[in-house]
Amino acid sequence: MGIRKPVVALALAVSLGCAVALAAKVMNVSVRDGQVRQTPSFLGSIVGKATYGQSVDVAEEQGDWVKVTLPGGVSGWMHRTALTENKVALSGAAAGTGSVSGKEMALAGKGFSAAVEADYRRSHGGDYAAIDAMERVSYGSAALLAFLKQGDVTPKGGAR
Amino acid sequence: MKPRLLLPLAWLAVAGLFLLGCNNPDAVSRVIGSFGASIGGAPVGDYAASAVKGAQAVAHAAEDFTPEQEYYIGRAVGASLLGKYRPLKDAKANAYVNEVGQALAMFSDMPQTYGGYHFLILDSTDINAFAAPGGLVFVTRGMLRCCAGENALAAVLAHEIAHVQGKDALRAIKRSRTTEALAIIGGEAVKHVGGGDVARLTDIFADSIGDIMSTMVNNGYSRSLEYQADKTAITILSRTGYDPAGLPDMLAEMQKRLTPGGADFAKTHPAPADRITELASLARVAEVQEPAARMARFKAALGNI
Repeated sequence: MGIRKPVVALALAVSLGCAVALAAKVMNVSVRDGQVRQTPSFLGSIVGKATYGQSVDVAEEQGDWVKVTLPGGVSGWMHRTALTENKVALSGAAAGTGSVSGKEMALAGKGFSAAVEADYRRSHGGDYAAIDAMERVSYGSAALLAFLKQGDVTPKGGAR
Repeated sequence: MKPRLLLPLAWLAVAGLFLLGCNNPDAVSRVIGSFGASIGGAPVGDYAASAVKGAQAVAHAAEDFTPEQEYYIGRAVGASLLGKYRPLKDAKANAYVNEVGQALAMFSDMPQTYGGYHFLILDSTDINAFAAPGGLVFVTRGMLRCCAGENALAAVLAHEIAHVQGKDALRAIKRSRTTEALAIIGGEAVKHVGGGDVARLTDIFADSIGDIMSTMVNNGYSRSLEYQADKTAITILSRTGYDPAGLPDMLAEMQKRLTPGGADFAKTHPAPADRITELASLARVAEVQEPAARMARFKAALGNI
């Protein structure tokens, strides 16, 4: 008699948990340094970092922003353009499961990759040092909004 | 007691079935999302063959390359451009152009790219600007001299961001190259070959960079792509809070300075007057008010460019 309630509760919990997992939408990070923010805005403070190719669970969508949960459990908002529904890279965790397809294996750093770039640089040259220096110049969203404000530029849309 | 246990046991059985069905929902949805459900039981060799066939049907660099591949294409285009033009060694001017450009990019429809947006001034009196895939934007001193103030500079940069957002440079890559690259990428996992395919991919990569360079530097994009980039630029300028008149203003100044038949913007873009006409319904040439603080920082950074 006393066994009944816990068993029902367990059964419900398991089936409900599974239903939630079935419904979850998964997206993949399409930028090198994905910023996960506390609020759906470039003004939101950064609560986590997502890396290229990482799969994230989608909890909610709001305009250009998507609320995601990272594999480690961190939850927050990412801009829609930092995510794709396509599989773009093979994450380290997925590699061990044996559940990946041929195409996913092939996408793991293949195609036009660092290896192709290295090969291309040997044969074609080009000023890659200047490109590396160029890529190092980067401002955070808060600094950029402060810059606009200082110049009396008042945003009317986007970047929300 | 026993009948009372039946119900919970039935619940458990149902729950167990559920559990079996979704033991790896992540992997299931990922595979379905990428290829449709049919791939599940097919032998890998069959899949590779169908991937190649599929690639031939639809291959297009703007849609089929991953953001990471777009990034490497952009770096190579940039490195190649910097073989023709030298970077301007002026940290203050470059920082300012990056502040304006990166702020504008935040208000584009593609605020984030794999490697982000970065801007560089080229040490040349040619009037020119280039947008490499992924967000590397180059603008010459000659182009900056056409800018009366920060609004006009923002207009130039917004037009280039529009080209990045539209993936216009990737569209210059011949479809046959994309198809072949995707065939190699799709087949690679099966064959487990290394060196030969990397060498072939590098050849296709180099040819793709060549396609982009000849379009960007010599032939230019189609008029319709340029007009579209101008219209997108107006949207970006308005959202950011700049006066859209900065674009026709800058074009009017460019019209005065361009040498007809020159090898720069004159060769690769529609005439500024035509672009101004095309923009008429969105923005007209008008006096742009630049607040004192904005004009002061523009002059401090680019006054002697």
